[in-house]
Amino acid sequence: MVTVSGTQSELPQGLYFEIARYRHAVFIEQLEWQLKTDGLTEQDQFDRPDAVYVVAQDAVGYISGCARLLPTTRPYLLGEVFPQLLNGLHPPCSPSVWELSRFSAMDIHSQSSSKSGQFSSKIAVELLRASIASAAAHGAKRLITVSPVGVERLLRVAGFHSHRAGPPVIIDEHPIVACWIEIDDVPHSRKASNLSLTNLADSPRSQPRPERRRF
Amino acid sequence: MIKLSNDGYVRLTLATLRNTSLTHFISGLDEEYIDPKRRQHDGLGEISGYTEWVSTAEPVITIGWDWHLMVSGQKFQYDRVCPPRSNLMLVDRDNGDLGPAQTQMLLGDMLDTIDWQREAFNAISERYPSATCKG
Repeated sequence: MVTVSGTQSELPQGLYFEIARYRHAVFIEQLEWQLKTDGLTEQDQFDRPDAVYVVAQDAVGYISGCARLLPTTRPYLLGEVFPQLLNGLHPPCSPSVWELSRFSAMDIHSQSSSKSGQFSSKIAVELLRASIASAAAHGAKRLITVSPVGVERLLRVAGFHSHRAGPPVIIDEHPIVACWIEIDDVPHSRKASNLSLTNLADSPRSQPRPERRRF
Repeated sequence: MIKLSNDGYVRLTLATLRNTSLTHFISGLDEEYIDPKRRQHDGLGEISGYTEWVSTAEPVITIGWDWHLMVSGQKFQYDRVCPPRSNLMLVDRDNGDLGPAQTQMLLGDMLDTIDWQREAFNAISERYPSATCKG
């Protein structure tokens, strides 16, 4: 597995379009989220030039996971659409807080694995690590994310320092919750390269329990 | 006193938490147990899912955890199978944070003393009438 991160203009040519197609396959076709679409891709008003994308690709280049990072100093999903998830607090607006959204680790091209919900555990954990590292490289000390409750379990199992920002709300019959992810002890490397490429070869490690899709 | 801090944590002592009313919010099954055709076991030997509870006052306290149901004959046993997930940070009498790990442990111990299983089972039975057996 390889991860790549960058803005639309920084990503390899054509990759952003593939991200948008992947998001359509996952969020609209598989998960049936009620999102706007042109029938082929999934994009919203927060897919701006300053959004940072973190993408996982398999050995042949197919996308197996993606995430979007947005600075909270400009409009973002939680602040604009789901502020009620913050238990009455104002949505954060700080250069040290970034939002993680449109997170998926579904390997839609795998024939061996079941497309078990939004996450393949191994891909999800590595994608989360890459997302946190990318956010930290942009100055983030905390991430805020809006996710199904199953993501929390993944965060805990994988050892990330996270906690809820407020009570869940029910969207399309599923509980959604905002979570804080504390970026602890992550070295704030300078952005030596805007395009970050990480090759994550399989390596022996204890595997988290398979993430179960939650309804 | 219950205080919502800017970092998102609701801070309170364990004693205050014990005196706080919690109501059931939602419970659900893990995917593989919803469709009877996809169950990996014959019958219903085990089921797993989650349950979510909230406080009735503000700032709202939210607590969720995973559970596992073992069915043996006519006997049902719901067990909590993970540390609770919440927006809580327990504090000591001097309002010092006990920390995430201690908070989780004490919260879990408290949950194990309350009868959450009945409401969770009723909610699951109502939400998935074709997926669950009724005792």
